[in-house]
Amino acid sequence: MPDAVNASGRPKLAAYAAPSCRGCLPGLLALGEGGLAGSTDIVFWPELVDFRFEDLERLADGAIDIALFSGALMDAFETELARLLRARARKLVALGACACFGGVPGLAAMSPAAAAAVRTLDQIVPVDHYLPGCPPPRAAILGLVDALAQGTEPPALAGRALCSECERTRAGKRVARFCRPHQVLPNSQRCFLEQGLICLGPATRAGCGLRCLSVDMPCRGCFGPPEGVADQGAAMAGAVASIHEAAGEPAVRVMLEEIVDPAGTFYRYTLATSILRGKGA
Amino acid sequence: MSLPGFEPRIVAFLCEGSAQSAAQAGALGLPTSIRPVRLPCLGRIDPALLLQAFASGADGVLALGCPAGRCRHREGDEHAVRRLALLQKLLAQLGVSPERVRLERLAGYEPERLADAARRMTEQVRRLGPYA
Repeated sequence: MPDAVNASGRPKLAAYAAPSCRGCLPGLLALGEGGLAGSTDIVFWPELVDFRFEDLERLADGAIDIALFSGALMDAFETELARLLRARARKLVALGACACFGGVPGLAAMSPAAAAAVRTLDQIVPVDHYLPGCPPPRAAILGLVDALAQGTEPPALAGRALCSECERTRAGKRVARFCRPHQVLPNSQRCFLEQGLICLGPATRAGCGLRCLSVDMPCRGCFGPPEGVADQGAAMAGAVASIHEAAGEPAVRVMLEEIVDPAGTFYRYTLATSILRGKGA
Repeated sequence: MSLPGFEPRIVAFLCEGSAQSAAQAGALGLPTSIRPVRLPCLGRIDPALLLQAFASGADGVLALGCPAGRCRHREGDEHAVRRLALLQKLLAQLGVSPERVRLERLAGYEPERLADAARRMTEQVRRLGPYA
């Protein structure tokens, strides 16, 4: 019998969305007959059916085959639920940028008024699999659940940076001026960075299917850093500073004005896992 | 918020082409607050390296590179200027005083300027107090 399937044959699935935009899980509902609802027994999914915390408590440890956890962790209730889900589930998946890296809620760490630290799922409990993205591509979610249901190893995440998959042309030139997406009409063939648009491609893991790039939106970094990069924001700050041609104090001051919100732009999804603000500090 | 007895820990990145020679030439020695890290060129300074210094317990970072136009790798110093400036803006957003990071330029034959930069940075960070 495959490793991750209970006696009924159909894998028992749980899904939960902690505070976030909750956009990861509802997307699954639109998957139709081939989707999760058709191929799994749903034992806990409060967004879908009126499950309560107690329903999860009543289950035996290991009773859930696959638990998908999305959203960032911000309070004691979510933390307790994550611990309970971990105990009940044989495989726990951090689903989406918030569960993996804190996501946009993680930017709360920039405010002195932030009541508590935003945590990622693996800052609370051990995680078996990660599927980043805002939201993760549906095909990737289904592929992951299918693999876990069959007891096979899910497809590995790409290790390389998004630039390695990008088909836009690069001339190898430096940038005289950065602008913001609403200020220019981007060229669809050329590298965004070389057009002066901040694109997180060099500091972001590949595997999203180029969803944003194909509709002329620069990468915002929702897949987190590539393999071997500890801090996405620092990597992006380095890349942007390297490609800009500003030389001398006055030009550097202008460059700083062009890059309006470096922390919010370079750490849009990963501040909670950054070197300075990670570890739930 | 200077604390009595607070001795700042400052990680200094020294460019091999200038500051490192100055450190070797200097009979003056560096203050004990300075933890030197040698780089082949200040252009090698990586924002992650600098953040790691803070995460590892540094209270300040001092980057010591060549005088303008004297980088033997042509523009390593300009790379460093842009990176540090951008990082200072980013640190300020995260509530870390940009004054904890400072770039100084000096030549290999100026050990007294190196010692002076180290002293001034130590005083500046002492006034800021400990990081974290």
